[in-house]
Amino acid sequence: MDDETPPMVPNPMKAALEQVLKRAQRALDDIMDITGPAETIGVGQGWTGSVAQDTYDHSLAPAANDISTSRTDLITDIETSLGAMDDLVPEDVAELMQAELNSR
Amino acid sequence: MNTSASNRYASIDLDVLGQAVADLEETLNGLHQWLPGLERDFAYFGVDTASLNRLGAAKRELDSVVPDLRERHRRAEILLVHQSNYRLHGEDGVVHFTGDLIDGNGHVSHQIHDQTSRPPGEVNQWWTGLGDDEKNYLTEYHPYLLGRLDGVPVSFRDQANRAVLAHEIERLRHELSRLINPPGLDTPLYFDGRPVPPTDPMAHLPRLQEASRLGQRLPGLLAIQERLERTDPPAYLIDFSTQGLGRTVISIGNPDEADNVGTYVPGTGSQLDERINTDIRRADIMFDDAHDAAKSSSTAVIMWLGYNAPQDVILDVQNPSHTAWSPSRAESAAPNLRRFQETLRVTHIEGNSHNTLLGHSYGTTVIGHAAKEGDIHVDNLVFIASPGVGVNHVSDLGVDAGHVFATTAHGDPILFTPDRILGTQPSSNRFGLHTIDGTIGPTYFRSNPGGHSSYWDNGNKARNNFAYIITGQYGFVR
Repeated sequence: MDDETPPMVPNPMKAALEQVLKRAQRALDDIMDITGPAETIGVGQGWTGSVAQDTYDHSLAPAANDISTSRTDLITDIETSLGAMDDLVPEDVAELMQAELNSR
Repeated sequence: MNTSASNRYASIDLDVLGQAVADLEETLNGLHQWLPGLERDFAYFGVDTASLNRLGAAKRELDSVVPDLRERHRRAEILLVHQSNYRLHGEDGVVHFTGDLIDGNGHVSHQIHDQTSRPPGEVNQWWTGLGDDEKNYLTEYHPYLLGRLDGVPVSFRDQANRAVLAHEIERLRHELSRLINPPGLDTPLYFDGRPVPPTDPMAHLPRLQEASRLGQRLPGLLAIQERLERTDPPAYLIDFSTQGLGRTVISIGNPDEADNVGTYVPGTGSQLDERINTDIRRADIMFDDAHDAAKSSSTAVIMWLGYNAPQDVILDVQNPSHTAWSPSRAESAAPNLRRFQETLRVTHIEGNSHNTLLGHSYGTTVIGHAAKEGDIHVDNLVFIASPGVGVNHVSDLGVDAGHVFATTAHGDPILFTPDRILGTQPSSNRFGLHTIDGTIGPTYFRSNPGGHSSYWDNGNKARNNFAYIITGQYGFVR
């Protein structure tokens, strides 16, 4: 073995981002899909009439769509970033990364 | 409730909307809790923020709309209490309304409550400013309030009060059935929530007394309903309530449109039971006579039982104010009668009608007290079989003496009422009325001899004079 090649260690940045993934998954437990509640307004019986329909069309339906699509994409976006990271990095690089993470 | 009619309006199902708002609030709280941290993390690690940005947009949208929804739910809850108080609407937890509950000027459902303390003129102004949809909505969903709101046109009050009347008939029938249906021996009896032993007859007395009271009340309501169903001539239920002795104001003909309007105030013993038939019949008689006397003009005659008439002539030393010997019932009624006459002026279409107040017996006492204490808003006063009108001379009434009329039949025992009880009788010379044979017309006119209630009998000349006074043909009064 070459004495000048530093050993390879787990990428601390990747480990930190994996923690972000776990936090995002917990967040989605609290950020629930609102498609059902939204549809009781304007479309359903919770509140009917033209003002209700406008509220659904211009506020609730777009918000429900944003939340619904983002719930899936949020995890995918993090996993894409994780996939682009190296699993292992040189030890000295890992030490620098860890120092930076600790300073956040 | 008419489902097709209710589909004209918006609605809120309080349970469904309440749950929806709770779910939206939970998600909004989650967005507030988690987004800031995730945004920092995504920026630090260079993660694509498109989905996070969409969540941010949703948060901003919900920040705006959720408080709005919560406020609508709160207002719908208030509306449900109003609409379901009388069990006409709202029992399914759904409220119906026109327009938008969050209205910068306040929704009409809330506005109507503000009107009850305002003068008739201001109420009429408010009503005139409403759209047709709002008027129809208030008539359908707030009949108990609208039906007694002075300043609203008679036609709308009539619609509202007919709904109230139908509902009260149904309610009374249901209550009577509950009170008088004999339970089985092994079925516990309850009254006012307390168990009643089936073998104790005295314990059933309150229940049976209540049943008796309702049993006397129901024929009165049915008599009103029967008259309303006849349309020749049409009748209008201007005011109605089953509270206390009951309140009924029913007009033969529409006073908002008539050239001549007579208001008849009945006397002792009048209340909302089968006797109301007699008083409605008298209004019908005076309407027919006035129509015959002046076919070229239109007339309406109102039966106004808008006060708690004394029920006894005999002095009750325990409760003297409850009998016809006391002016207290007249004093209490006076402001209501003045307000009602003011209301007739306010809602009349195209200028003033020719208005006459006619009282019978204690009804004259009510009229006298109303006239002496403020502007009575009429052209003529007619005192029929009066025991006294609260003043000792016609000049104390505040009305042109030339437009004050009275009659008492020979043989009417009311003639024996002492002056000290309710004031000088208008039939007395001391009151200041006089009989004139001439073109001007007498202010004290004669009736056929008879009893206290004979003035509307067939052939009684008093009827002719009522008609002439109501239609302004004073020269024919004899």
